[in-house]
Amino acid sequence: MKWMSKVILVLLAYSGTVSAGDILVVVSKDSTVNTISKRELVDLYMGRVHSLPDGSPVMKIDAPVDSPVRAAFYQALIGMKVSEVNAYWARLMFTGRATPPMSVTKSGDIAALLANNPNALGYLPEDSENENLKTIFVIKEDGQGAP
Amino acid sequence: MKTLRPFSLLKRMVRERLDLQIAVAIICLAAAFLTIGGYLNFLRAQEQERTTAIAMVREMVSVVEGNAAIAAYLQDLQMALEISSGLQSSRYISMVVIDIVDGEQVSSGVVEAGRVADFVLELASPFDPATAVGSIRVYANLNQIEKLAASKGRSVVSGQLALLLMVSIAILWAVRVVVTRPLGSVVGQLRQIDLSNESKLKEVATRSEDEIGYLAKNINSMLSAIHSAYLSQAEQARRIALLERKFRLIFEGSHAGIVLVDEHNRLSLANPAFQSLVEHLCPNLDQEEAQPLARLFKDPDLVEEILARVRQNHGSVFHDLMLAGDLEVWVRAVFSVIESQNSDEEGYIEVVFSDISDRALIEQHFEYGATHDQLTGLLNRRGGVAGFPKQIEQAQARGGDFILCLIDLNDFKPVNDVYGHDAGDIVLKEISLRLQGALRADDVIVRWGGDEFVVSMLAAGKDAVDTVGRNLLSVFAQPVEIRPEVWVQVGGSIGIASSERVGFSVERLVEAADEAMYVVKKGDKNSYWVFGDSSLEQKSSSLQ
Repeated sequence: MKWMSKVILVLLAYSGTVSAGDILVVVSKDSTVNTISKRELVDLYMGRVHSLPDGSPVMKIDAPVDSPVRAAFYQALIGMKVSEVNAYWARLMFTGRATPPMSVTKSGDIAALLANNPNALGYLPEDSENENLKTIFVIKEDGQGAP
Repeated sequence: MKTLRPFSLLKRMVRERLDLQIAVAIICLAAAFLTIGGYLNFLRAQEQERTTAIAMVREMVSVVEGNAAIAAYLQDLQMALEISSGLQSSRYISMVVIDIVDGEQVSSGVVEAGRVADFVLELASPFDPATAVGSIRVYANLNQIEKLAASKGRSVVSGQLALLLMVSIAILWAVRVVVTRPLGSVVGQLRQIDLSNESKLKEVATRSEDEIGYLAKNINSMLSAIHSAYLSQAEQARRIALLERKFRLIFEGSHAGIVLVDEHNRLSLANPAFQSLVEHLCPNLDQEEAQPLARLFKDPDLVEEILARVRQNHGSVFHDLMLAGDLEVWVRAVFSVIESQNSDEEGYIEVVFSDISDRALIEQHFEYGATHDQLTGLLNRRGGVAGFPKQIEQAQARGGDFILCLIDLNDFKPVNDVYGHDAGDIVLKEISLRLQGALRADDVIVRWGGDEFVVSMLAAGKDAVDTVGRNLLSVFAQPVEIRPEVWVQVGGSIGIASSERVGFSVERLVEAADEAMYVVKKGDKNSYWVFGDSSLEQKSSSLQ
């Protein structure tokens, strides 16, 4: 019940601010990470940083290519379209230095993957909360992020 | 000096040729423009090339800016190196350095130490323009740019040079065709014209209708004017020369002495004949200072007076003059004023002398013989006729009368016949002497014919004619001794004519006296009668 109270606490804390269009950046409830900044999030997802702020390795998970949440995520995060992000990765394909996030084929797979992997990092639409996950950052609909 | 000769020759050639002058002027101007304009164009081309090169470098860098930003963002040195070496492969760029914010950097190429980058581009994060992730420093290849700029400048300048050269040659050609060749043809034709040629002048012909054509046309009209003026001048000069030669011939060769006297009556000019005429007087005519003409004559005052008279009357005066000196040299002189338009010669008198000293002597004798009776020494008929007018003039001037008496001897023929001609001559001489004794000195006594005498005089008073008649009769009162102890008696018939009755005509007077004399002859013989006397009473000789 401890995690329940935590979730409720979080929900209570953000009940006034979390709206239907927000995107939640989530990790496994077993993850050591409890919070992340927008810049850290950008550096992770755009391949500049390869580990979490605490130094633990991370597995970045992307929503399916044509899913609305993926478009909304990148639009909110870096102001780019999915095609532009794809082009960005295509340019870096041969350098080997940076690797793109792992893309899932079905949206439903993200929650399972995150729950089973404490090193994974992903994002979900606001309404798909799960007791096995914890939200470490909320990306507002208007693009403003909040941890 | 010798080395300069070809140059000065060239200079002279250029000075004489219009087209060469134009060529030299164009070449000098072109050279000046080329030097200044070429240098400026070179600088401009160089600067343009430099700017172009820098702009190109900027463009190239901006092309790779995005990738470079990504490389810097990802701190991907490999990618950064690829970008920098790609940039550096341009010939305009010597070195490229990509700095990444964390202190890492990659570079391609080399430059000399201490050089400042020509161009720095800050790289921002591709996802956050506010975040700098690194920078690109570019060092341009200045040597290459300068080399390219110089070659560009050279090519521009050489192109302009070629153009200018072509334009210069075209201008030269045009000037030659339009100006110098027609001008040269006109000049050449002018050179051939000989003004002294008396035939018609060849006209200067040109096909130009511009200023040169106008010039040629004007030259033609001017030339023909000059030519005709020249010809008439030459003709006049020839005539003057001929005339002068003739005049000189007259003046120099004349036997008459010719002199020119100036306004101060000094000898201005004398011909050789005059000089030899007065040679014996040593007049020193050659002297610089002119001598007075009068000094050369016996009566200088007369000469001065004649000169003054000539100058006053503007006519000619004819006079015989005797030269100064011991020799008796007579000259006949004609003085004439020279009418001249030249004011310098105002008052000049020309005198022509002929030597008449021999003739004067002869003429003196001849004239005496011609006017005098050889036997009696009285005037002969000719001399008397010449003498009457003078007396008539005097009588008229006084308002008096002129008396003319004709005396015919009576009983003269028997003397001749009986005693011979010598006796007759003695009688004539005696009568002449007695007439001279009986009359006044200024009365004229003339042997009129063989035994005829004429006496003329001015009437002394109212009864002059009778006084004269008695006087004349007294001449015959005494007999004449023709030889010792032989006496002959001759008488005289006297006819008297007075201007009071007859007038002053000599002819009429002689006729009247003759008539009166015949009246006496037919009457009482030895008596006198005055023409026009009404009474036929004759005055008897005291002898009868």
